[in-house]
Amino acid sequence: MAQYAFTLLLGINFLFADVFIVSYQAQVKDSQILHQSLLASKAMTTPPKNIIKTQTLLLDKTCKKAQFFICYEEKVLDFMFKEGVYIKAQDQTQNLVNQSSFIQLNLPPQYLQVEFNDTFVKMALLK
Amino acid sequence: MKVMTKGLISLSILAATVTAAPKPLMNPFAETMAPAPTASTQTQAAPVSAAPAPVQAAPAPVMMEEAPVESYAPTPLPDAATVKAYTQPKITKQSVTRLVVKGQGVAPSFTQSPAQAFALAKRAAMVDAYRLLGEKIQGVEVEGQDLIKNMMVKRSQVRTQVNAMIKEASIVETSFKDGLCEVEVELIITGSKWHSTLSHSFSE
Repeated sequence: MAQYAFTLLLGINFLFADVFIVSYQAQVKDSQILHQSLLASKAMTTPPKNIIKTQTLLLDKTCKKAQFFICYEEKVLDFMFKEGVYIKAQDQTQNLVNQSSFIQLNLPPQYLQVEFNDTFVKMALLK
Repeated sequence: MKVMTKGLISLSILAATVTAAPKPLMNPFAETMAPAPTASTQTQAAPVSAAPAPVQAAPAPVMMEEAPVESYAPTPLPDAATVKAYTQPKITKQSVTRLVVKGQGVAPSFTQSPAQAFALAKRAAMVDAYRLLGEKIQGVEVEGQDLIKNMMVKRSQVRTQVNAMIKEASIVETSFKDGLCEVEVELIITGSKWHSTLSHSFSE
């Protein structure tokens, strides 16, 4: 009964939240960032209902709701990285001299539920 | 008169080239070889005389310092306790393993402000730190190729590859100095949480 009530409260809490699909990719070559892209769009398909983890984020910057991911990119990524990132790295050494070093970091598309409030934002990863 | 002088000059040049001693060929081992005996030394070394030359005693052989003989005894095998500790799994239900790595990143040259340079360098350092964690957890695939031609190494190439999935890593410290950003990332593997997932590879 208590678990049912807790789940109901959690569901009501996120009833008016927006669900986004977020993915990230970064490429680093020779210790310099070559390319990075954060893709976030509103989910057009039915998202899953299981909430893996949640986090409350205090809004300390004045930016519009549409620019949330631009203003808080680092904190959103720090939250999503904890769930798992894929690393692929390749190094090449020729005649004992390093020729190239390439690292690719992939965050696969995941459902992110964001509830916007006045001074804070509640984020939840769905799976 | 002019014809006679020209003829004399050509004759003198011809005589000089003919009478000049031929130059010996270059011997690459000339410095290491002993000097060849000349004709004067040969005649002096073997004079014809009635009395036999006194037999000189052979020079004493030079004793080289012998290198110390290494012990060829096999190294002792480790005891049972050491072997058991080595073969025991590192992750148990009570163990807590903490991995700490330090990634480095450099700001690119096309930044528009120092803040952007710091942000991009930090991102590169974080990616490098994740790669180091992947090396520790998943391992590194190493491939080496050597091209040897005419008993000389022409090219020596080594390729390494890392494929890993990192979860629950957290940034501990960030420092930025002289264009180089260093990010310290730690990963705590709690045995009580991960033992059931990883225990399929080893038995208790």
